[in-house]
Amino acid sequence: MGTPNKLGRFEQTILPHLDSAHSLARWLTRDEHDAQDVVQEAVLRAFRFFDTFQGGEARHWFLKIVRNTFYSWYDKNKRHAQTETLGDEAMDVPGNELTPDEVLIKEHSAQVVRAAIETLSIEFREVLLLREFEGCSYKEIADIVEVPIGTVMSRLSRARQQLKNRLSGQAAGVES
Amino acid sequence: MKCQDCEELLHPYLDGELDAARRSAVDEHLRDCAGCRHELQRLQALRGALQNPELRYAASETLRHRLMGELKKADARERRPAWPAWGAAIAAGVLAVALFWNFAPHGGPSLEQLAKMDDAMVDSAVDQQQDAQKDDHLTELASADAKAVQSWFSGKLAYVPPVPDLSAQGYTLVGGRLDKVNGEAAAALTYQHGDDVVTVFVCAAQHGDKGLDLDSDDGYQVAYWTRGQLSFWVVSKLDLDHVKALGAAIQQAT
Repeated sequence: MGTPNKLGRFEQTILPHLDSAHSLARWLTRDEHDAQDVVQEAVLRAFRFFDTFQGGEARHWFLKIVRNTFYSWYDKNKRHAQTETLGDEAMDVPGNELTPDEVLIKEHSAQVVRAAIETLSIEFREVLLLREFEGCSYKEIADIVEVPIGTVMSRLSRARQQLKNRLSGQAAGVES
Repeated sequence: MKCQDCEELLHPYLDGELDAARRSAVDEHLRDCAGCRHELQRLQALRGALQNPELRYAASETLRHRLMGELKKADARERRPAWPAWGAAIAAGVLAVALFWNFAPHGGPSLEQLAKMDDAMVDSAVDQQQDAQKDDHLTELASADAKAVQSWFSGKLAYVPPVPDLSAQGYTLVGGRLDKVNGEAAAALTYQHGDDVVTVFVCAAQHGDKGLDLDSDDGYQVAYWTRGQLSFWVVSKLDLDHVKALGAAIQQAT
């Protein structure tokens, strides 16, 4: 029985990324309790499949599992479906003139920024989170989200556009 | 470069995702265009706002603690079957060799023996299901609540049977009953879709892990497999493909 035990290796390789996993789940579910359920399920799934982990970027591998787990959970829990839809076209207000608000974006409280992020559609939210909070490259995001890089770029720029507009108060009809 | 092109490139520019040539093209445009410079400033301000550490959700100590507990349990579950399973396989092999040595010196008696055990289980599961349907005794506890059905079994069996959700396959849980398959206590979980009835028998494994197998008997189709300490027997009058698909779905969900 010379092989180092699986749990020990899992603890060393995967668990250091628990904060990232939890943060992603928390942003996607928008609820701490749900996030914990998703993380727990994802951790157990990752453990079960850990033998298939080929080495490489453990965080990337783990985040992909968290995201997939979230979507299974989301499909099952449609009853408290999140309100927004894919695309969210109507919210795209092109930013034009520089207003004094812009300089204030930075001063917004975490609470306001959080609320603004939470109004983004899931598709936009996840690429934004992976980029801004997890520092993933476009290539990594494309792999985790399973879309082409071009889609990552367009979602990311639209996510930022919407966020920027909401924080500058340009988008009048933020859904409630 | 036009402003429209520049705006498209500002995001990858900000994210360090542009190659040198396009990067310098953007730089050049930015030098001459106040509008695009402002846009970049806004994006930088936004990024600044997102750097607020209060926007990060670290995992709490409580969660970590709970996860470690769950992982240890999962680890123990994965290890435990390994020994009894090997033990059982070796014991079955030894027994089979002893029994068949004179008759089948060249065959694989242990596999044969395992197949016989499975066949007996299939026959018995089908008999039990037939009787249950005849007597209209499919469930002792009628409930669509998986948790309720699961906890109803607790204390009645040496293990807690998983109660998979088959709603994605169109089947709703109607309840559970305590049953016996080939003399072994089993949880029988019944699901329904219109007139189609599917019962999943869950009992203690008789041997080591074994992938999904199919069988037909007396108008019933059976998909069965063994994983960890449990064996599953999906019994239904549905066609074989259907039963196989349900078996695969349950394997995924458990």
